[in-house]
Amino acid sequence: MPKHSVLFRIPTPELLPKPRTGFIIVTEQQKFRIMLYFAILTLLAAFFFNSPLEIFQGLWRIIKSPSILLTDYMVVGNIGSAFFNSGLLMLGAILITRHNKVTLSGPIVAAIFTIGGFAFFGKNLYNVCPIMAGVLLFAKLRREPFRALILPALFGTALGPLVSQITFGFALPLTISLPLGILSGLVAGMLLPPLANHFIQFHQGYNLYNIGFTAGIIGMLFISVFRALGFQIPPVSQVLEDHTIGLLVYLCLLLLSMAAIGFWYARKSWRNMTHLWRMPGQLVSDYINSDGFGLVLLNMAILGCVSIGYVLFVGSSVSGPVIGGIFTVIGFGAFGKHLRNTVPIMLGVFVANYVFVWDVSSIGSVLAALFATTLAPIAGAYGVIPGILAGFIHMTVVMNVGYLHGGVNLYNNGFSGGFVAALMVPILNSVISVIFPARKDFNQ
Amino acid sequence: MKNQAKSIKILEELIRYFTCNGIVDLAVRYTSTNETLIISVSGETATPPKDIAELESLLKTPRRLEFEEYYWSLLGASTTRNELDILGTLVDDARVTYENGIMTVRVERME
Repeated sequence: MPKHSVLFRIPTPELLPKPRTGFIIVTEQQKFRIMLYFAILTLLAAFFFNSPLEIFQGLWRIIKSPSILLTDYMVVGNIGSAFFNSGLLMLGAILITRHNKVTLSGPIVAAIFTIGGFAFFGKNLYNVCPIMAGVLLFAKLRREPFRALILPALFGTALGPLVSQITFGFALPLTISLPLGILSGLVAGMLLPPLANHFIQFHQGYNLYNIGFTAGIIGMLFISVFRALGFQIPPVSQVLEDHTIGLLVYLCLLLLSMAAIGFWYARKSWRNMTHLWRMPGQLVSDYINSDGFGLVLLNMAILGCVSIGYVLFVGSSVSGPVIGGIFTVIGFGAFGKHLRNTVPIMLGVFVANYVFVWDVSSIGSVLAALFATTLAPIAGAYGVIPGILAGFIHMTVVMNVGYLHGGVNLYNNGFSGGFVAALMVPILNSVISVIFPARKDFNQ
Repeated sequence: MKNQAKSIKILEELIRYFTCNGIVDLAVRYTSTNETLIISVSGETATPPKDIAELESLLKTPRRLEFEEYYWSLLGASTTRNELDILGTLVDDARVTYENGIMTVRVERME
């Protein structure tokens, strides 16, 4: 078996990459403006769907929603208010980044798009604040600058529904539920940084949504306590249907402008895309640093097209959660994902639907296919076959772990992906050490 | 000594680079105070690794606090990959030299 077969390869620390040259250096100011453009485009899209009054009323309903998985804000509020909520949270994340003088690197771009995506189904202006405040409090107690913990703060908003569910979902008087919800968010925020740093070793960086795994554990802890106190969390499934065309127009506009800006800044270096595609993608793969912002925008646009293509190919419709999934895949195009390492994972999920009991076009299955790409580094490091296997196994695991945290962790696939990566990577390494006795030290 | 765990991980990652390049007879100098950490690893090799220039370039990556706090625990001895880009974001200064058959990597970090 060739060592670097596309189908199965042995990850080895290859020669360090030569610093990329030839790409146009995009200044922080330019990157800031480009990210602002994406946020404002999303914000303004709201007004093509609803009037300002309808948007305001919808936003109020969104803020008062328990927001647990799977709550489509396009149903709870309306389409316009979901877009407005997404644009606002993206703007907030960009401004927090800017205020803290943090470089717009791959993980930050991924975090901004992830926040924007999940603002279509679970994050809102109310429920993200206590989580971020908790991380800020932890930073103050540790006497560290907030910017040192900005990644757990941004990604940690996955636990937003914990705040909303406690505040609005347990039918407690607001005088009790409001402080309890905020306090829970603060505590969860304070737990995130140390646990995120610890759990990353569990899957060795092969699960891109590391905070998803951490948030799953924290969510499980909280929900176990509430269930022990007699509170119940019935499953929710509110998903918009039959508005695919309008939403597709917005997505096309977003991706076309992303590709156009990418081409402008990449110029002739777009030919270097094959360099990016050769990268395994495990944490920490900052593509902006290694390949330039222009090429990364192109990569993000390509991934967006592939994601939309998958949704339409399986005959599903575009809704809030689906846009959230597409946004997340796009965002991680700056931080670990590319065409070569995501398609095998999606293929694995696709195949699993035909073996098991799920309908390939159902919302759960489509979201699994999009978010399963958290395991893209397995395909990138070990090849196509392990990648397909990872997607296949992920599909079965993700359908079982949601109960543990009761839907208060929005990154359910990150939670599942942590288990799958922690399971698969040592097994793959053992297989390699058996097949190739010369590599019997292959255990990390 | 501050951040002892991070310091040990930095040392582990440097040793990983040397051993993966077949340099296994190493001399380590580890100096840690409340303000500074200086680690120097040297090893004898007839030919320097081909990517010695890239190594220095990676280690000179500007310090990034947001990477450091979240990802430092990934550093360490792995036979499957390197984490030198993370290491670069944890150190303030780095020097890589190859003289008289001795390769030396020296990193410095302000605590």
